Amino acid sequence: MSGIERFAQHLSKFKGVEHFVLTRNDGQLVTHNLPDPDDLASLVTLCGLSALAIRKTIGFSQFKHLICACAEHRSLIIFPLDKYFLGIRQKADANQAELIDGVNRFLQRLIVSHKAAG
Amino acid sequence: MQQMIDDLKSIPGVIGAFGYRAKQGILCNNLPSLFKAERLTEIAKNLSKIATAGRLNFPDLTEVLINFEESVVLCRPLGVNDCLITVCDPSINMNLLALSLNLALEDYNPAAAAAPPVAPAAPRVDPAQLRKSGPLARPLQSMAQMLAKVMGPMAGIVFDDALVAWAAGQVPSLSSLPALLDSLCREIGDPEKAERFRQLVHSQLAVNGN
Repeated sequence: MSGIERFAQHLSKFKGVEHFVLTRNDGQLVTHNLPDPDDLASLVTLCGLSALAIRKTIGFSQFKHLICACAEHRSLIIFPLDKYFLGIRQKADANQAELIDGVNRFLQRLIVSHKAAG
Repeated sequence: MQQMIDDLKSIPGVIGAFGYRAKQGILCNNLPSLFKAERLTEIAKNLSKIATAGRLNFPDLTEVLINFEESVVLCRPLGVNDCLITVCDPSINMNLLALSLNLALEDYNPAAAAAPPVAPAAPRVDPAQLRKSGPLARPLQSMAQMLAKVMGPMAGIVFDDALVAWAAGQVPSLSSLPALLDSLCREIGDPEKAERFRQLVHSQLAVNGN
């Protein structure tokens, strides 16, 4: 099983994740769990790039996540990951704070193990 | 809308807010003058882009929130062209802010918001220049570093804001530094931290203040 497949499998098991897409910052789709991921992938990339542009304009140090809040708590949450963006559509009954915290810890572990691997 | 953003600013953790209308620009603004008008416009354009693209996919999109290390930026679209953008401390109570926004927006009237654009007051001095060169550079840099020790990540914004206000009210000089120290102590808010900052400055720069 490739690293990307493991990544997708792990995310699918996250409590509160309805759909996800992982895109590169040039819009290239890397992995997802949707029947038709193209629209969401484009949105995630555009939002991620715009958030980075705001960070640069305002002079802040780190973009942590972006939330497109929707009715009935089915928000889209976007996380930066090096040159990738991870977009997650949360389930209506999910605890958003717990979901963000869990995904952040998962991404942090990935970054640490990636650095350790050189 | 000005009244609305002034009310928002009174909520603990809100740094300030501004209203934006596509093709017209900034409608009102009460952020510290460090947030320059052209930067705010750029930020608003990017947030509008996110909100517009978001609504294409999710017509029920209600707001966009971006969490940065130092601050949270919240964009609440108001109709098709307007949006209200709030900059807050990451520790803000989001439920309280959301409730306050909902209450404030109940009475929002887009036509009334179309008052002439209000640009933030232009600073008479460039804080970056004051800190970079001249006789005040070293003491100001030291004060900024000591403030960061006491206040953390928001120190930079608070310091520059106080610096602009201080320089606008008097001729910037070594002899008027105590007034800046007093202003920064007031901005810290916490008496214990303010006293610690005062002592740090006094021990290193011999600036007393009141």
